[in-house]
Amino acid sequence: MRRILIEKDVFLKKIFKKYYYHNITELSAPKRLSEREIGYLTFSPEKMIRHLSVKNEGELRALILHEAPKAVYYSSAYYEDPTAPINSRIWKGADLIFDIDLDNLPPMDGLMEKFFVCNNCKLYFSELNGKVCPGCSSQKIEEIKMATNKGLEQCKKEIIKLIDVLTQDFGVSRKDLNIYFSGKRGYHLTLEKSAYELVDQTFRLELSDYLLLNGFKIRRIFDERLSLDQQASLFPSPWDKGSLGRFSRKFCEQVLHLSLANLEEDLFRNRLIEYLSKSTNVDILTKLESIKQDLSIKIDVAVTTDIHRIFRMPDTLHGGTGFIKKKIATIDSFLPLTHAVVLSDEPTKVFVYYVPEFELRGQQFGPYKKQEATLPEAAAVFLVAMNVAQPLEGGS
Amino acid sequence: MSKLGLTLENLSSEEFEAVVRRCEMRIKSSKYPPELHILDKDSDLLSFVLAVAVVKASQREDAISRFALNEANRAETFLKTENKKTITHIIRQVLKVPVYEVEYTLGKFYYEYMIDVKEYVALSSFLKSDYWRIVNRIVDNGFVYLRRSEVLRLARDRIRQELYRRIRESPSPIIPPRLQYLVEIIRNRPLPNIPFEGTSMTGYPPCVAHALSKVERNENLAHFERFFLTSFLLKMGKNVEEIISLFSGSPDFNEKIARYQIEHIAGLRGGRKIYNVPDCRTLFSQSLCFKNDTCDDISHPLQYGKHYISGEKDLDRKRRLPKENL
Repeated sequence: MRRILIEKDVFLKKIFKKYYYHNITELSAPKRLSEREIGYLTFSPEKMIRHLSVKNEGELRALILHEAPKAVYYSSAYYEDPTAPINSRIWKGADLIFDIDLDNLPPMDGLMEKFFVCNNCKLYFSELNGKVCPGCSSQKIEEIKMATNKGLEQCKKEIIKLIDVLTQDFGVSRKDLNIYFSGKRGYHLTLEKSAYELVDQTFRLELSDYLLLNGFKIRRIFDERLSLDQQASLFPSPWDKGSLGRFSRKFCEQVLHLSLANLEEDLFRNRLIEYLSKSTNVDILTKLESIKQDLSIKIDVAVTTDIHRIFRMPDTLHGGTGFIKKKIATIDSFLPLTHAVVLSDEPTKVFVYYVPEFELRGQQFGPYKKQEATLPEAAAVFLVAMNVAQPLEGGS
Repeated sequence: MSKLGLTLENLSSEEFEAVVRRCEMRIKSSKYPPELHILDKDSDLLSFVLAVAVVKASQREDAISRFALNEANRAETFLKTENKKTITHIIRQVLKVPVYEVEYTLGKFYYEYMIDVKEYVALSSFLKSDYWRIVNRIVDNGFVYLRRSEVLRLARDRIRQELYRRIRESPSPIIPPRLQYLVEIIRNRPLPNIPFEGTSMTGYPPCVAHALSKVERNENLAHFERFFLTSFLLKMGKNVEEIISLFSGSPDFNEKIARYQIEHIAGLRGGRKIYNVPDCRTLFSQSLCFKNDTCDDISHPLQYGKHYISGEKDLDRKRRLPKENL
């Protein structure tokens, strides 16, 4: 049977437009919208339109409805005139923004499904040996990364750590923190209208290093040059403030195997001295380095330190997945591959080149390899947007 | 001076000889001993004001920088002798730093003050040692906890910066002829060596040009910045003597220490390890990256110039798409 392929961008734009037509009133824009730069990415030809501004949410909604863009962005910064040339813009402050992406997490099995596609011959393969396609020797190789539930759970843990540090150490109120699923491989956290909106790049870099524990001196906790008594008195208590207290709490749980509930200082110090006296310096330092890795929050420094960054607009569709950038009320119960999948279940025909098994809205799909499939619209869009499937006529 | 109804002209009379002598001491010595306090409060203050006028009239940047550092060191010495309440008052009212008193012990350290974390980062940004970075501080509820010695160290630099700024921005005074010799003392000092005379600084990456311009202005470089500049210049073929000469105008220059450090970086001492020039990422993390369009996509300062000079660069190639993963 002869397949009739539909141009990928035509297919996606049509579905995006339909989604926005029915759901645009749900879009909730960030505060101080008229002071922010707005930008969007068009479908074919892919073109970035920037340096726009809108007066209010209504104008933004009209723009999105009209253009049905592949992606919509807003600046984290507020400007006197967001449409002015970038060099002459008057900067009035910027949200604190954080991006936690699977790409920034330490390598671990099962965080992402990774494979390669040759954009010349559409051959899919799991290992890339050399720089060329094993089928046609083309160099047009693209790496496909699909977030898994396990990977997104790891990102969620980082967000929870981030919330803890921002509220405890930096005095930010929990209700001022906006948490979003990014729509693809991670989470965003933004802080609007805070005491930190005027801080410069130096502060944002310092804050990033604080969160990542870049430059943290283990000797603040343990100094192998000291006597045992001195080491024990240097070691912070689990009740101490800031990162030292956090280190000590983790140490209690992971190394001393002490529960923090009803723990008393004497018991803690006794167990600490016992541990320090029995362990080698190398063992102690290894354990502390490991705790440092656990406590470090894997934010993308480039995002947090950029005071002119444009960031994906909440409640808009991600052109690389068809998922929405979704605001999260309760992080613990949020299921990204369910709650951010907003497109319909309408049966949609696609030709899938290759995809391993994946899950959306609790339903398992695949694996598929060079075959036609009729999938719910949300799953079909996901595969087409990920560049692993081609839409077929007579589907959506 | 106006409060006392005095002018610079008045100070040139014999009546104020002690003030003039004290002023001479202030501008001459980098180790103006604090124990020499005091003629009397007004005279000491007058000698300070006169010294400020003389330094300004000398029109020597290096003298302003050196004078500000010396006076700040002296102020810190006096502050150390004050009680907690007085220190808090001076830091709040005079230096305009919103510091709060606390009592908090962590491990073996006793913390007496806290400062808003934003203020702290601004105050400590010139201190490049990891010790001062917030990652190595107690930060709680938006405040940084500090020990007394740490607050005084921060106060010292606020004084240095303020003094330097105010002298630079003040109008140049007319020094009475009888006191002109004080200006000449400064003017007759040898000029610090200007780095690599005749070499255009535009040939250097902006991070190096920034460090060199600070050296030219006789400002102190932070330890890491000095390490970076030294390692870069060594790689560019400069020798130890040239680099020592370059740093000789710094207010805290000590040839013995400078020679030791430069030779260490050059691999001539210690473990004989030749240190690499830090890469762009490291410089960025130390707030020493001043990237501009000429940097293109280099990841290391030593890569600079290769495509810039050869003209392969497209300066208009900007407007990149946002990160795909956003």
